[in-house]
Amino acid sequence: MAESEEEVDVLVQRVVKDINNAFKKNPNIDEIGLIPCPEARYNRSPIVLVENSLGVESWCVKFLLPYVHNKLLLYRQRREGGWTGRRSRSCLLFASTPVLEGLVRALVDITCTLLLLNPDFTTAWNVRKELVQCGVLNPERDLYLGKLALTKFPKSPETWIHRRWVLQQVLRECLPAGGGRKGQSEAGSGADAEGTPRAERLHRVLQEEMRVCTEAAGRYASNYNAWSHRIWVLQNMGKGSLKILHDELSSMKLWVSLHVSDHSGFHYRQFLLKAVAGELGQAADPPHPSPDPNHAPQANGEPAANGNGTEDRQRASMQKLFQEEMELCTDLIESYPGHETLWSHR
Amino acid sequence: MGTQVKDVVLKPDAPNTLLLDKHADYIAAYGSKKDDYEYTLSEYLRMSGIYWGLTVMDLMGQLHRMNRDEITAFIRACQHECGGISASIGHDPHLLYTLSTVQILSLYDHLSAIDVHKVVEYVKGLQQEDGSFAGDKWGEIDTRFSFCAAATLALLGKLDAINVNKAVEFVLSCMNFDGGFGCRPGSESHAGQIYCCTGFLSITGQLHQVNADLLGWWLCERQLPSGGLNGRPEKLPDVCYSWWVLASLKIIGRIHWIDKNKLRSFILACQDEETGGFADRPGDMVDPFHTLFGIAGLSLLGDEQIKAVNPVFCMPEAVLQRIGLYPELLS
Repeated sequence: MAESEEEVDVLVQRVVKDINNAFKKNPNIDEIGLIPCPEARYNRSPIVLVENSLGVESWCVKFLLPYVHNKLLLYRQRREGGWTGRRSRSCLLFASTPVLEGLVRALVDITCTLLLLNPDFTTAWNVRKELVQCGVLNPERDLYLGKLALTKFPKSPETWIHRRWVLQQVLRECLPAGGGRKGQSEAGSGADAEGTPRAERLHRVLQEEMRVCTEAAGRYASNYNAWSHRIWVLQNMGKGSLKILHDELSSMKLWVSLHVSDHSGFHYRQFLLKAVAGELGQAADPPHPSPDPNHAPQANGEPAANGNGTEDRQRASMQKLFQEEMELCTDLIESYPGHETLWSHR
Repeated sequence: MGTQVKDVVLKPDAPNTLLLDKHADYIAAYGSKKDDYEYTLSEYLRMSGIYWGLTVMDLMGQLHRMNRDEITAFIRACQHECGGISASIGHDPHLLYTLSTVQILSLYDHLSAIDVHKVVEYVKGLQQEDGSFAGDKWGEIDTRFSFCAAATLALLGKLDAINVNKAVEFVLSCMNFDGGFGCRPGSESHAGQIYCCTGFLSITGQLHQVNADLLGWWLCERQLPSGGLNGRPEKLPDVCYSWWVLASLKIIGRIHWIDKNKLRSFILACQDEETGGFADRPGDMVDPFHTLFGIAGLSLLGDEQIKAVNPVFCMPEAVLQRIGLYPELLS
């Protein structure tokens, strides 16, 4: 192919536009992929939308990637003057002028294409972090891009790292107003209990995160990044909720039975069991209020009875959990002999 | 019916001698294909790529074939106001590439090319209250970054700039019941993370805190019938784990627990006889990353055609001796 530089520019700009139009046309795209196709076909866009899957014909990638790559770095270097260097208010101001609106739009589009092709390009994710920080990019929108990238690159460390940062922003936004002030939240867990928009948003994001992890774990066996992310999510977003831990234990039961050599999946079960034991131990300690008023007592399933029998009951329920785990393990070992993972778990 | 073990079978015609000249040619030519699509794709980790290339060349006694002036100029352009160093020009600074840079300049004995004081401040600023380290200003925590911080500062002779006790405390909180380490507290053991954590504990002189027999056992179980090592149970063998597992075993004084001859055969079989370089597994595409870890692994196994490598810093022992750095190893 002997395209001139100008021809390539025109071509690539059209492709970037096609990609962004595809997202506008179908906001439910849930998978991306590369269509092996060494030569351009006459007069047809290399962007193919079939149902909810977005495909890029492979011939165009070698033009597309260097273009968006260089374009982004150009913006980045110009920024040294500081287009988002100044925080919050000035960011909002700059987004309101048409020229800068155009710049933000361009950055969102370019990083989107770039990250779908090369999701470990850290600096591109950082540009999006700045856009989120300035309030010009919706965090959930950004999580959606990561989710798509993971359908093609389920291990991509930088995509997972970026997700954790975005989730922390969501968490911060969902904290009761003036989260630092004790007086208000002490008024009762009712202040921001289940049912409020904030709690619902947090719940929705958490559920979506679990789905993203399961999906990525299914696409690549023993996916370290997906499973350690899932642990992080529980540690940071599901603190103190026995209900979430129990839900995870039961939903994971089927998953590990279908993936008997996935060491990471079994490690996750070990993590869950330990977390349940920890929570039960804490609940058995009467004077300590639950660390998270949003969840603990009602989510527990049982009103926190602090009588003398509590500790015994906790111990009994823990014993039952471990006994069930051993039975599950025995069943799997007998059904699928020769798996190191199962023995390690035991 | 038995279950198939996840492993590879070495073909009888797989390479079984070390093709040093080919590898040196491969690395020397690698940087000259700068317009390559692949080269653009890997720009986000360029500085580490340069470290892999230079270190393997030095281990093979071929460092003089690389362009020192060009690399130094490139490095200078990658240091930022905050002191941190980025993977390439125009990218954002990160601890990973800050360590790679300090390693490169240590090979060249040319640390004055950057503002060392600012590097120290940058690393120091990334330590968190619990002792852990963030990889950059955005705050991701990982035991890999604890290693990067300690290794960078040790090479600069400034380990005392950080709170070492706190840093040790955090790394130890990532230890699991199998003796291994994960990326954060509660995360699964992983050979790459174990390398970082044992390396970190070696630099900080805290190896007595490791259960060497338990961890050594877990590490030895990474060896598969082909001789290759994997990074976790029921994963495929990969040349880079020849480094991470083997170096960890060397650090905790248990390297004699694996079958060295079989591992050597596996590593040699991962060479590409035509292009030079090593791949992750026999028959796959070669790259500088696996080429370094193949050669470094062979060095740890005692190959005398290669310079002795230090298991903690993955740099020639001679370089560390020049600096006067002798990280702790268990016997």
